[in-house]
Amino acid sequence: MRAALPLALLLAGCTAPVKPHADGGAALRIVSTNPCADAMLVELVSPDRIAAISHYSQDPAATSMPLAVANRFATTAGTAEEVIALGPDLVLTSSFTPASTRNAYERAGLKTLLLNSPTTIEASKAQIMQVAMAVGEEERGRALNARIDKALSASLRQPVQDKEKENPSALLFITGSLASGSGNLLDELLTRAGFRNAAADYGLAFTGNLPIETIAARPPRVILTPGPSRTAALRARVLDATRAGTTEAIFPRTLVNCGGPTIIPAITRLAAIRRQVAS
Amino acid sequence: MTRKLAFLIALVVLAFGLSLIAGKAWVPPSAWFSLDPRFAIIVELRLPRAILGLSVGAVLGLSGAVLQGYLRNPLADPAVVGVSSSAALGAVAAIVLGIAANPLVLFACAMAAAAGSMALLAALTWRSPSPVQFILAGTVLASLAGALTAFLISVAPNPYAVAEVIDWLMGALTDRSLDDVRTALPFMTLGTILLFLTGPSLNALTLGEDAARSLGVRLGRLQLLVVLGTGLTIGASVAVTGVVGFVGLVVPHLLRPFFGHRPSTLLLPSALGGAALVLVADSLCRLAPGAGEVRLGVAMALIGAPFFLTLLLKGRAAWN
Repeated sequence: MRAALPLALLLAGCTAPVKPHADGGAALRIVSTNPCADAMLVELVSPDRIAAISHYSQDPAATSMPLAVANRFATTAGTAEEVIALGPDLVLTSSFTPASTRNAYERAGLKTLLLNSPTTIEASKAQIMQVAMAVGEEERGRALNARIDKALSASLRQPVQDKEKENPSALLFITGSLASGSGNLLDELLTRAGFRNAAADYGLAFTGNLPIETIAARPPRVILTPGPSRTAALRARVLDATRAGTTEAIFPRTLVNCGGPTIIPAITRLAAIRRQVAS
Repeated sequence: MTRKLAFLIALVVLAFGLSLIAGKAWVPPSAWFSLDPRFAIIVELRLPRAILGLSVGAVLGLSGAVLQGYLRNPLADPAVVGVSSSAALGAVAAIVLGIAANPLVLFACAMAAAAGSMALLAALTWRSPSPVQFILAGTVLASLAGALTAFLISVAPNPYAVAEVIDWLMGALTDRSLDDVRTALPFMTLGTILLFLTGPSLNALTLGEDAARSLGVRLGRLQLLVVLGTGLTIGASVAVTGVVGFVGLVVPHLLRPFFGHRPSTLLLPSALGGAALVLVADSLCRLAPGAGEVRLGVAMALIGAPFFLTLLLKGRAAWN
C-alpha cells in the first residue's frame, strides 16, 4: 500500500536527450503519463507541445497543479493504446507505470523517458534538468531550479540559541491517519523549514498509519493535515482533552504528491506555519 | 450449564477490561479515578473500541451459530454465504464514490447491501427453502461481491482512494469514536434480538425440514428472521470495522463440545465467545511492536485459520 502512494514520482531515466526541432521543423510533441511529470512539463514547455497529460492531474486529490491549468489539456489513463494513438515524439513514464505498458510503448517505437521518485531536493532538481534536457528546454529548467532555490533560501531560518525552541516537532499527515515518514522529500522540506519530523518519535521508518493513541502518548508540537476528516476530528478532540498543546495547520493534499515545481509552494507554506508556531 | 455460562461472562468482562488497559500509551491506574487529562485516551479511544469489539464479536459469533443451525451446515458463516462481502461491497462503493464523508451514508450503504444480499438469497431460495440451495447461492453471491469490489477498486479515482479502501477492507477497530458506537449499536441490537428469536425453530429444524414443518415451524418466518437479523448485524458490523472473518466459523465449533449440539442453547454462548475472542484479538493487535497496529481482520484470520484446520485434521470438529 505504501509503495502504491506516489508521494513523489520523479528522477533518473535512461534515454539520451532528444534534440529539439530534430527535423529542423515542428517541435517535439510530448505525452506525460504521471502527475508529477505533468507538473514539470507545464512549467518547462509551451502548452501546444503537450499532447496529453495524465488523468490524475485533473483529480483534485492527486494533482500537483491548479485544476484550471490541468483542464486545458487532453488526458489519458496511460494505457498503451491511448498513448500510441496520439503518436507523440516523447512519452514521460514513471516507475509506477506497469512494465507491460512501458514495453508496449517501446514496441510501438515511441521514445520514452523513465522517471523515478526523488527523495531529496537535489534529486528533484536534477530530475527537472533531466526532463528539461529531454524536451530541449534547458534554459527553462535552469530558471525553474533557480526559483526553487530562491524559495528555499527565503524560507531558511536564522539560527536561534534555544535548540528545543528552534526545532518544533511536526507530524505531517498525507490522508486521515497516514503519516509521512522519514527519508523522503517531505522529510527534507520539513527540516529545511525548521521543523523536526516527529515520525521518528513513534518509530515510523516509512510512511504509514499511526493510531491516535500513539500520538497522544507523545504529542508533536505541530500537526499538518490536508483537511477535515473523521480521524482528524477525533485526533483533535483527544489531543485537546489531553492538553497536548499541539497546533494543527492545513497542508493541502496538492503539496504532498510531488517534488519539482511543487517544492516552491510546499516550502513557502511550511515556512509560514513555522513562523506562526514561533510567534 | 449456568456455571459454564458464568465462566464465559467472566471471560468477556475480563477481555473488556483488558481492552481498556491494553494500548501503546500507558495510562497509570491513578489517572482512572482523577481528572488526569490522559483519561481522555480511555474515554475517547479505548472505550469505543472495547464496546465495538464486544458488540462486533457478539454479532459475528451469534450469526455464525444461527446460520450453522439454520443451514445445518457446519461451514456456514456470514462470510461464506456472502453477507459480509456484500456489506463490504456497499461500503467500498460509498468510499469510492466519495459519499462516505458522512458515516451514516457508509453505514446505510453497507447495511443496504447486506440486507439486499440476504433478500436476494431469500428470493432465490423462496420456492424451496433448502439449505443446499441457500449455501450455493450464497457462495456465488460472495464471489460476485468480491469481483465487484475489485472492480470498484480498479476504477478508484486516485491512489489515495485505493489506499483508503484497502485499509478499510482489512478490518480494524483503530481510532473509532463514540459516534461510531452510537451509529452502529441500535442496528446491531435490533438484529441480535431477531436472531435470538430463531432459537426454538432452529431446534426443530435439526430433525429435518418436514419434521420441523409438522412441529409447527413456519419456515418462511424463520427465513425472514435470519435474513433481517444477519442483514442488520453484519451490515452494521462491517460498516464500522471492515471485514473480520472466522469469528462466526470458529466460535460455535469451539463451544459445541461444552454446550451441546442444540442450536438454541448454543446462541448465547456463541455471542459471548465471539465477544471475548474479538476483544482479546483486538487487544493483541494494539500490543504488536512497531508504530502501527496489526489489522484485526488479518489477526483473526491468522488465529482462526490454523485453529480451524487443526480441528479438521484431528477430526474432532463436532459436526451436527
